Amino acid sequence: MGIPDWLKTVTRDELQVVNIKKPRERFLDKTLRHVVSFVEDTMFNERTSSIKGFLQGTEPRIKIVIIFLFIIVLSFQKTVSGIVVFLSLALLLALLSGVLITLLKRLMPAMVFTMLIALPAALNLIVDGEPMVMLHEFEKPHTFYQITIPAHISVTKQGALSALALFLRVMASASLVFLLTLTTPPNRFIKAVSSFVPGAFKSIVSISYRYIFFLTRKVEEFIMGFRARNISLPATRHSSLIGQRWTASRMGLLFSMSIRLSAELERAMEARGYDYNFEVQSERLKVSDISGPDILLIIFSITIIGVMLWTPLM
Amino acid sequence: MHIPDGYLGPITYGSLWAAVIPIWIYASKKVKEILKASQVPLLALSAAFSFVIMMFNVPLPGGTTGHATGATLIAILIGPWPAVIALSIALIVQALIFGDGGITAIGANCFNMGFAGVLVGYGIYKLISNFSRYSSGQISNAGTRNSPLSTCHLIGAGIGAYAGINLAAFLTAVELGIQPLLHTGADGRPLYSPFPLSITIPAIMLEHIFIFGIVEAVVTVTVLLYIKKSHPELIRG
Repeated sequence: MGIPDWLKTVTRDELQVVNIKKPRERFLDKTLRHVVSFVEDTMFNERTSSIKGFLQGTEPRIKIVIIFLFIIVLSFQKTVSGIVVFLSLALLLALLSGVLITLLKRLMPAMVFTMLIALPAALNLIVDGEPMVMLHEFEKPHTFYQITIPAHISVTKQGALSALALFLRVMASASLVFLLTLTTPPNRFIKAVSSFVPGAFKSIVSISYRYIFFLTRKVEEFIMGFRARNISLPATRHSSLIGQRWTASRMGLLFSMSIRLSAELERAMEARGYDYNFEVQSERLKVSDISGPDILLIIFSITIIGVMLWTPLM
Repeated sequence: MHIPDGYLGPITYGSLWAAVIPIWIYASKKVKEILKASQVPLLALSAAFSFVIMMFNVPLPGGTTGHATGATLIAILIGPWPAVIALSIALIVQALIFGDGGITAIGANCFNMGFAGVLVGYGIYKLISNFSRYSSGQISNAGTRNSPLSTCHLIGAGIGAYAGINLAAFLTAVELGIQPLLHTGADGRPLYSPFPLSITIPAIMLEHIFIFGIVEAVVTVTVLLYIKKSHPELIRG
């Protein structure tokens, strides 16, 4: 049986609807992209943290303290060479943990974004200094409000170094943070983080982390439901208003869900004998928890931090 | 608006950590006083809610989209001090698990968005709501313009949200812009964010004044309208 003719013909109006569908629903695509990347990242962390690598074999609490110390010591580095040491360290740890490629892939968006931000700093418009490469010459300097554009636009030595240092510093810090999440199962990671948080905050952090996933799934369902029920937003001048109303109603619904869930959770906790101000008891770090890779990581880190704090690199 | 690691020097991020820790302590004390029961599940779910609403993109006329922080909205819905805690937890989880904002910059991000943005947004909302109450001759009956979420409340919420996010953006711009003044190498080159105040303030503020501020106000007012219509019992503030 062939396709009927009326289905094959496309009228001018229908074509218009198809063409305008994308921009009018960009807000849905962007929200969905956020949701999907959130779920994907978490799933991926689960997978990479189960690889048998160096950092995967270390105790999460020790790893968190060490990585945080690295990030703090890195923030005190004043030279490019000092920052490079930490970036190399992060890449070496990623290699030993079998997550180097994943780390580089995850760094890519931050890399592009930071490069775009850092590059203008190389120009004498931002950082004045010794000219290295002359880019453009005007007849005279121009002033717009508070910004003066000099007659000669050039890449300066100080500017280039400043841009490079910013780029490398951001990359090294981001690599260290990603190393933590890539090599620790999400549940163990949040438990380890909670152990550094005081009082009732422990339970707030761990409960909220679990419910973030629940609410995120709901957002995905909202979008899928909207897509399933609507071919496209109507092609009127008010389509952004319709989109705003839809988004607001879903946020409002999410809030009412959150309140309902918190009441259910409260009743469930009450039924199980929890006090209202209960605290999640975090397990103390025992000597038996510390393994060979932990000792190796501690010795290695103390050496690096000591060297970086006391050598002329500072 | 989330400041990543590497943009702020130790003096700035250290000062903001030092500023935000007493705020957290005070906020948690206030929360214990205000929310006698069930504070843990409510705060946890509010933190999860504030995390998730930052994922929503909102369409604006002309094809632009933007996302809101929901700071003023959450403050109106659960109260300002619980909102400080909820927003801070959402920002910390974002920084630790998803690399959105830096570890060293947690203090700065929580101060800008989770404290200043929340309290100023909520303060303006309260000021306009109270002003409307006094100007119309004291407290009126339910169902009049002074009932929970009257037009004046909604206007206050919109203006508060707009002002709150713009203040948070302004603080971010100032914190980034003072880096070349605070931290320079021996050769005069900036060690952290190299852009001066004359660049950071217009660069950050223009997009917040014309895009993100409007998104924040639209989200706050429309969500409150929805809740007023569908779940009026949920409004506390």
